[in-house]
Amino acid sequence: MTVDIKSLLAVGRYQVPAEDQCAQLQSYWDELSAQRDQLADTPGAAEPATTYTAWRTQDE
Amino acid sequence: MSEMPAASTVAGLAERVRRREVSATRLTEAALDAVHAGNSDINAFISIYADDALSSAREADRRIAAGDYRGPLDGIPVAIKDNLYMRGRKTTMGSKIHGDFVPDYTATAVERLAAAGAIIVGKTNMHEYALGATTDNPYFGTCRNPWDTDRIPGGSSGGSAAAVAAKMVPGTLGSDTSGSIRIPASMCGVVGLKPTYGRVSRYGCFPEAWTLDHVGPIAASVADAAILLDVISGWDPKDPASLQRPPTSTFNSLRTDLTGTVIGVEKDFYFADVDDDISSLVTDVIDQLRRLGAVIRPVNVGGLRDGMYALTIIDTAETTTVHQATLRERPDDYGPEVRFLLECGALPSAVDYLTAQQLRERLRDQFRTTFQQVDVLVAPTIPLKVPKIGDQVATINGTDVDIISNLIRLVGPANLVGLPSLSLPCGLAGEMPVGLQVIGKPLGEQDVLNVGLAFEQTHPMGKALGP
Repeated sequence: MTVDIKSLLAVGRYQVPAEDQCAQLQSYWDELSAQRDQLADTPGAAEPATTYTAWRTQDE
Repeated sequence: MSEMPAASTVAGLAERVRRREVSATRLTEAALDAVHAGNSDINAFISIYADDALSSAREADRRIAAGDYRGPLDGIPVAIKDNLYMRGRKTTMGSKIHGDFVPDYTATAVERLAAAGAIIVGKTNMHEYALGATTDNPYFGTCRNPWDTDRIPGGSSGGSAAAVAAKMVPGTLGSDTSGSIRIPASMCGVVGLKPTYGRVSRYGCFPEAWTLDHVGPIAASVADAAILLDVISGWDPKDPASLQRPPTSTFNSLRTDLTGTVIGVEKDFYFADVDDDISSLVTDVIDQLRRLGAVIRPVNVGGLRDGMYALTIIDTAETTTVHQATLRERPDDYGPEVRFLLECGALPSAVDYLTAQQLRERLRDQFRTTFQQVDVLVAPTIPLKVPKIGDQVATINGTDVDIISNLIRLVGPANLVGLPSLSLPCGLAGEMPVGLQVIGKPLGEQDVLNVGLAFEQTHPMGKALGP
């Protein structure tokens, strides 16, 4: 399903750019969404909940 | 002029300064002469501090004459990227919005340079807000590659790499969020080091994406990169990500004997879709490293392609968070390319961002396993030849490809998982430099620098850097 870029920008209260820029953004987001759908194995609840930590937490 | 930094490395000049065979004042005059002579062609500098630099150099000379020599950066002219704060100095981030911004404090890395006696001659051109890899800056002009001024220097630290390649100064600082030190180092034929995440303080470096940002050196040789790293590294309580580690002492521990060093080669990701000429050069390097005593071991790091998806989500989302207020209020004051990137970062959901963080953690596990088998990985720094200014598309082995995503592709994983990564010149393709990337384990800067130095000392470009 294609997500409407203008709606996404509106949710964030960002100004909607010119039509050609919207088309470029739409293309970018569609491609990134396709990449997400092709991830080898989408993580989920079984993954460790994480925010990024420096190496020291595991390696020091 | 034999004193010209052009003719010398930091390590070589330092010895002459220490012996008082050349003065800091003379070196600084020579650097400023080189900047003034070359900057109209290269546009590597946004700000030049001639009077203050000469004043600092004279003070360094008086101090050194009195017996207070501070080490290998004392009296050496350097430059810093214009996203590193200097108190009382305009710090633009290469932007219109911050065009008149004057910070009231100095970045920790810059303070450490100054405390070591380095003479800061100016601040270097960069991609607007470090959000790109060409340094084609809409407000401060296009920075050009000293090897061929019709070509990009790479970015976002393009001015910092170009200044070293053009022999204006022997060393600079840059920042690296998705390759912004190593991409321009590769394209300009110089050495760039992104340290381990947290190894060098980012306090006073304007953020791009805070879980990916690093500050590091660009220099004319591996040894010089080590000297700069040793000065700027070490714990800083002002940076919440700073590792509680003392400064490195890599320069004094450099060695070129690779006997017993295990070097991993990951073909599936790092050599896929790479320009044949670049791939061939790096393969030759691997053969050379084997002849130098290293053990070469094929490895597979799973999850790298998923990692690039994660990098895109995390980088753009964090970047847009930094800029959200300004993007809402004055979007037209960004250049079109940067505005587009910021709008890209407004699109991912919280679930997208956190999924990306989970993918990132998986990749860290994969690298952790890999580094139980090898000391370093070697790979190309970038997969394509240096593009011309204004090009939107490049060619890899006859196929048209997007430039920006391909410039990031091979350097981005080290940002995502925080590993140290060095780029050093390993040859020419199409008469332009090619970079070799050496990736190390966490806090493994010494291994990375040793492998780089061992190769550099056997390779002609290690002796005759520059266009």
